[in-house]
Amino acid sequence: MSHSSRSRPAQVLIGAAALAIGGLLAWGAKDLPAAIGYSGVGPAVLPWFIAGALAVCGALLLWQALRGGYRALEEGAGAERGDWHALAWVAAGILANASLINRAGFVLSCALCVALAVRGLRIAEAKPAGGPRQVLIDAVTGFLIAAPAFWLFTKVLAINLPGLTATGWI
Amino acid sequence: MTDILGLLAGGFATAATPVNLLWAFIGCALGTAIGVLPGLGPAVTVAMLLPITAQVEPTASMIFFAGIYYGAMYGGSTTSILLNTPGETGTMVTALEGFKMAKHGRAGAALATSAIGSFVAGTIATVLVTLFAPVVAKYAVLLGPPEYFCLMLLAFTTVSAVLGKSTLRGLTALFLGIGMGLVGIDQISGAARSTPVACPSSSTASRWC
Repeated sequence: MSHSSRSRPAQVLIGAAALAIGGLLAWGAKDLPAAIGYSGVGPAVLPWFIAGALAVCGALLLWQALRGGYRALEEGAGAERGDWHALAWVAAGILANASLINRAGFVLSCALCVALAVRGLRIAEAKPAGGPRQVLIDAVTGFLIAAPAFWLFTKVLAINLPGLTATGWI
Repeated sequence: MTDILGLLAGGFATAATPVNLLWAFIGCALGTAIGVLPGLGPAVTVAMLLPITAQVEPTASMIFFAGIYYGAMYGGSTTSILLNTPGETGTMVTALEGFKMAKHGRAGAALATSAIGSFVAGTIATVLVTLFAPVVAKYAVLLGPPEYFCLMLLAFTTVSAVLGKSTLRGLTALFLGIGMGLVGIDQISGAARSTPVACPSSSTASRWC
């Protein structure tokens, strides 16, 4: 199995993605005024330049990928394939934290994030991921880390963090 | 010059009291922990901890913030050397060299070099800034837009030192980074780039809303 940086579909995808992001920047730049005030350089100049540069780079990368792979590839570092299973758990933890923090409050959403992300990291290290008991231990650990930080901010520093209740304790 | 030395002596006498030294120690410890975490920096930490000045005396809290700053600038090197993940923007170069040392089994030497170098360089730099700040400030205000443009050109040309084997892929990464930095409000004109700001009732931009 060769390193994932040598897989041809991934290289084509990267070239196409660079081209697409250049197009996205151009779409965002078309509504901007080109010149303001007395200077000819306005807010649209740099987005157009970067969009053009990304389009050229993306096209060149795509051409290289379709004509025999990237040139001057270095030795692949790290593992041969990405660990998507572990990444899914860690990403689930982070996304759950981001979406729930305003509803469930800082402490509970951080505890949930720790429980999910630590499970993913354990899978990445090829350790047994553990069952419900391990998830509970991780959630309690997350609570013990997040709660003192939350109390420090709300009680000592008087900075408002999103909480489940308005008391400043949970 | 002599009144500067007199004031400095008074400052050292104030800073050498046990309470202020304790605040410096706490600041450095916390700052090192903050520097290790990628994403959190000394500026954000000091901004979040500013309300402490309501309870703690101003001199002690300034010493605390200075400790956080110095600690954070050093702490970024720990993850740079051991995990190849820079904790601060200033420690990105440490990650390039220190991680290679760690892979050859010399992580301890790298960490010690970083710590001792940070101490020596910080001390010398603080002394130089104290002595030469008024002189340098006279020239700093003379920098205008042409000088800032030249600085940006210098930054982009020195990026070529870290592009690696493939110039094309290095330049793609550079342009992707600049593209990400363009999203938001333009500082000069106030125009919103690639960001929906207000929802107009009738225009093409209303598709964003």
